[in-house]
Amino acid sequence: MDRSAKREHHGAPQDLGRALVALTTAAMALPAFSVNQPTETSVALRSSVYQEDPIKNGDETILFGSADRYKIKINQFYLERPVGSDWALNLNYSNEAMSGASPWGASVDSVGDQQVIMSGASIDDSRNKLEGSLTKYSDNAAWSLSVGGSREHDYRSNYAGIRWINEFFQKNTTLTLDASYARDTLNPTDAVLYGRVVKASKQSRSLALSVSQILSRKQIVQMGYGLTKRAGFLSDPYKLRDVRPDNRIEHRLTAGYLHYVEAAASRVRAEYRYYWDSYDLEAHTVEFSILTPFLDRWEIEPGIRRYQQSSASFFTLGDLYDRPLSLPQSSDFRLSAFGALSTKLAINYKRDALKVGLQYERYRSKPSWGLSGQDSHVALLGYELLSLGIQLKF
Amino acid sequence: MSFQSKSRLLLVMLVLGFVSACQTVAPWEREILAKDEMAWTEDPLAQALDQQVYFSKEGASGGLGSAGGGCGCN
Repeated sequence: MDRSAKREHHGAPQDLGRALVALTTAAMALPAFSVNQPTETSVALRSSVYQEDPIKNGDETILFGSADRYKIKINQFYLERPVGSDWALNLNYSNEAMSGASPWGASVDSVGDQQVIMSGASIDDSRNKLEGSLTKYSDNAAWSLSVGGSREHDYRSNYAGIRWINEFFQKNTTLTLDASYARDTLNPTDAVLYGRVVKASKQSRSLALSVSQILSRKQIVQMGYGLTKRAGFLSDPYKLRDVRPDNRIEHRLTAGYLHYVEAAASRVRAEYRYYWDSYDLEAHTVEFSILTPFLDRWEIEPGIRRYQQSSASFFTLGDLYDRPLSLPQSSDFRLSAFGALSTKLAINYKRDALKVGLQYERYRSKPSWGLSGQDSHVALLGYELLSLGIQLKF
Repeated sequence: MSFQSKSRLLLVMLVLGFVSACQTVAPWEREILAKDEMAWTEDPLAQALDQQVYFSKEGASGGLGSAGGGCGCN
């Protein structure tokens, strides 16, 4: 036996030990949507406060109503639990309590400047959402069935979805297929008093395909395509003159990239989404973040998100009362051309199976950051979001 | 070529570039990939909240996976 062969022989138990550790860790890996059954129960709680900026220059731009927009308090709960040797159960609950004003309509004055009609600041609503999923795992595949419902005093949504995940090529490639159906029912408040639709419904059917590919021992990429078809009453019943086509077909192409930088023990994350739909609305979203550990148990993750959209084909800066109701129109700022920039910062504390995280996001939007047009909607949004979350595994 | 077509072409080229660059990684070489931060859904509640906020405040919606139910916010 030559020297090199001896070195290989003596090193074998250590290499085997390292390989076993790596295999054990890898068995719990979640490189994307995973087909591995969770081995521990995970519980997470999160409380958030979302606060929209008041409308700027409200004295000049608001014809009626309040400049103070939504404030929403959100509480969330998540549970993931292995069941037997091949199953897992997920539960997800959230409660939102909101108050504040929202735009009802808009007009354009003689020099082309927009003015908005806002609701009063007395809108109060809450939303409760509960969803559960059951997943069956096998060697290289997993099936998942999800059902959920959301309730507001004037809005109900029920939905169901299935997911199939399969791993190929020594688990280097993961294919995920999703299909879902949702049925929503609206019962707008004071419908008779304000001439709103009394009751309406809409359905959403969705299909999505994504492929996750391990590129190297430090890089993963994911690509996906999603298609959603919405049909039914798609207008906003609270707006004064909002008529939207009763069908909307949405497409989205997505790409994601994760890269671990060993020298800094940092993880770089980049995501891109290209969206287009039958309203002729087109949008690009780019998101980027870097997660870096510090002081042994802490992590910091600054992030940035850039969003750009074009306007829908029927968007109007002011409501058109001389346009027949058979033709679509909407002055909703969400259908105008605009762009948005989010800056985010998350700080996490990790100790064994416990993780506590604080997150802050500042969102600003401007017409000039959009893809096309100069809609200059005065109700474009800015907000702050602060969240405190805790996760525990046992 | 329209802006829309250029965007799709760019994305397809990006995808092909990544896929052609990939190599097979054996299970025992995945210690880094097994880290929590290398999961696409590291924090399901944060992801759900982000999606809900963007869905209710922007014209485009959805990401990886299928759409859930709607809400009165949009």
